[in-house]
Amino acid sequence: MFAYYIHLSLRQLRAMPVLNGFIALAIALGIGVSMTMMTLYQALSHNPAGDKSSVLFNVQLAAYGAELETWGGHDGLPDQITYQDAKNLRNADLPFKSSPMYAIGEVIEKSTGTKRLSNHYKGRFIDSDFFSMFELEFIYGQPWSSSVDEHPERLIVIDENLNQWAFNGKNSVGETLRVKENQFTVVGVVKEWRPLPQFHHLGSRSAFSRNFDNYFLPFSLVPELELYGQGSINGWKSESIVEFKDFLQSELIWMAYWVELPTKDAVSDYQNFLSAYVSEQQSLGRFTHPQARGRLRDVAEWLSYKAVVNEDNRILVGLSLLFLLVCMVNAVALLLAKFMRKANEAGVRRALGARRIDIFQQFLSDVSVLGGIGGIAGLMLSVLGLWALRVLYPEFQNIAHLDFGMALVTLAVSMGAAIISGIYPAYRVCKAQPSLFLKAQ
Amino acid sequence: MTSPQESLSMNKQGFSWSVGPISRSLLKNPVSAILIILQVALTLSIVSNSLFIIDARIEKMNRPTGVVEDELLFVHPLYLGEKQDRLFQRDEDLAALRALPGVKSVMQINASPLGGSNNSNTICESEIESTSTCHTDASLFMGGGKVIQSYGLTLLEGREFFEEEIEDGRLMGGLKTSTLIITKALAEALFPGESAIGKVVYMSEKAQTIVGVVERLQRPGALIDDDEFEFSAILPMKPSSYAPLVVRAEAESIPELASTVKSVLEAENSGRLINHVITMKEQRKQGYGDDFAMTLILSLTIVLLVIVTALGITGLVSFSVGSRTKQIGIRRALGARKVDVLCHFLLENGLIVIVGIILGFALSYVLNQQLMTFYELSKLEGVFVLASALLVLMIAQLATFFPALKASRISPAIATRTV
Repeated sequence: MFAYYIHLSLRQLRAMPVLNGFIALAIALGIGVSMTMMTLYQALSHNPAGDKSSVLFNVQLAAYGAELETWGGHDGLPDQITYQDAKNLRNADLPFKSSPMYAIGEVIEKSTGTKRLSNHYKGRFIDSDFFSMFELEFIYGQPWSSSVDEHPERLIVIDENLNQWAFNGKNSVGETLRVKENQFTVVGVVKEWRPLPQFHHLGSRSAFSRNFDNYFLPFSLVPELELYGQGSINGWKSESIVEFKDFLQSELIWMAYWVELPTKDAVSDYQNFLSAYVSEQQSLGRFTHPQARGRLRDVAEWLSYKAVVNEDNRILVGLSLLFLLVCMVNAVALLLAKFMRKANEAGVRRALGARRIDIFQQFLSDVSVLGGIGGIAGLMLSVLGLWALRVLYPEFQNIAHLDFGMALVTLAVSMGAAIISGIYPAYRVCKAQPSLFLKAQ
Repeated sequence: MTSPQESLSMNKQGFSWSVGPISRSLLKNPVSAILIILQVALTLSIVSNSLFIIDARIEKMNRPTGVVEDELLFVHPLYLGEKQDRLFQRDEDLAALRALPGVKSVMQINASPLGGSNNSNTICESEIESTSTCHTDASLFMGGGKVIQSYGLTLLEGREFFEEEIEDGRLMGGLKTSTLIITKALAEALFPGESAIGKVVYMSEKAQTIVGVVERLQRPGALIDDDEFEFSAILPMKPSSYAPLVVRAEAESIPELASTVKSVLEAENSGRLINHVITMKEQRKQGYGDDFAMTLILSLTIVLLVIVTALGITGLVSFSVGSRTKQIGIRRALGARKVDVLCHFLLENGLIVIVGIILGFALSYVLNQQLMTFYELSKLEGVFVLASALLVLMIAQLATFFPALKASRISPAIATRTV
């Protein structure tokens, strides 16, 4: 019976090609536009930390002077911390994995091959905990040992891309590489690490930056290497900074700090530690602001705090859903017109013994066929739309792709919307007395 | 559904624009009308708010930067070695660039009005820093005394920097310089109603005398949306060796220079990297990329929405014509002219659309309120709603016209066929 209904539905498509075309087009446009925006939104609001999202916490400190009313974000918390605070936090004797970090963009020099210099690769100073906290996968070698976090050694972990450029992709553990004229020994090669959005240092690098971290250096080397960070450096205090050590001693903020807290107790322990740290710094005369405090945000909170999904994207999603609504209203209106025109045919069928439910089913099958056609066309439109978005927003290059799940959702939404649009018109026709249609015209 | 008698009598009196029969026929089948009203109202609210956003973005993109954009090229070098060595290489590069054909001026500068890099500092009205005296934030341009010449700025008042005021140095190393040239916008904010020349302000606790005022120089980033987008100050300081080199040349030689400059410089010195070369036109495209994208997406949304609405109205009017074929035939047989039939449908649809537009006015403001609450959008201006209403009305009438024309061609003979 179902196959018969579908057969009938396909036949009637040919009977009223213009009207059916309009309906399918309205559905396709509504679905195409809204699914394009929804896919982009989904990609932007993606949480790349996965299972780790709720155990990785970004540390913020309201560590500025009382002469400022407020500084940093809307809640008076800056989005980065100073070197001094990073150093103090990492020196604290706590049983939690943690790592400070900042990015550098220095020239890299290899000892073999043709092109010797490159500034294409970006680096990051981190502690050894970073690799397990952020789940980087090692292809060769391993992280430097935790003793290096205290006693600096010139070691480096590189990713597969840099390994390809510098060592033709072979196992390079033990080989050397120069970063801004300093020689380092490779201890490990990791798989490419490209979380999107780049949640780990939102205070300094934009979430969809096309700069990714290609090599990692021990944070303990920061004082002796004297490499300035790449990204935002902000300050509130007038300080005389002549040398790198003045820079490290300053109240300038340019670092991120992450800590892994696996349980609720761990979170409250760390909160208490931060409060104690703030009090200590207050008594040392450093944090003079009356609202001096520390704050932990997990990955999801951090992404939303830093407004990774920006205003334009949210406006576009809202407008595209309204657009879908207009298209659906439109489809209802056109379906009504279509069904009313077919009413006398239904009248004949009713007179010949068809039940109301039969007619209703027949009409819903018509609508589903239209919804399916509109949905497939809409899917093609969203592929086109996403392609256009990738051209318009180069930073979304790697994320704005329609996945299989979204394609299924699209088809389901389209069929669902069409069926909902079709219920009222179908009901109208079924309700009518068959005799009325038989008499008319 | 008009009765034939009514139509006849109307025509006798030459009064075919009566609303009565139309509204009665509408009330007979209100669902279609309600759907059109709803669709028109939604369309109007989306179109008006989109136009409003587009207008704001276009205004932002059209903002003049104050610099000679067509004549500028940015070269981003990366020097290696000790500081003195880096500065030496930089000076060699600047000399090499200056010697290229068509080049008018070169400098090294920390920031571009359309670039991403920005140094900003608080300007205080007194030496003591507090919230009451330090409320103005300005972007700093450091180009070693050559900013006005190389960026092609217009000096309104005062003078350029003297040679002896120019210093080499880092901004964070404590300010060595003590003179400033500021924009007109900043001058008016700091010293409303009086000349800023000779006035003293404080930056990082150091006194700075304002010696000149330029017409405009947009702050870097192209992101600054607020009304402080021209709060810029020029320092007679040379930037750090990491800053880009700026080449000002004849507009027509810029594309040629952009493609050759990298190899020319690399031929002179292979010990440093030329990271990238970018013209200011390209920088503009990158800087305003998001605004351009938003404008394009919203424009496309408006076009698609209007198409959908027009299709819907055409479809409904066609249906309505189809189901009234006999009545139209009767009216025609009783003496109604073609134009009377055409006008009937245009007027009927016009009425519906106007109701939709009135509802749409309200909906536009509701949508705007939502956008204002959630997205910091400003208040919708009436002109955008009126323009959108006019657009929607025109499109709706156009969408009615073709099926209505078809209706007017219905032969009176149709009335006699089946009774």
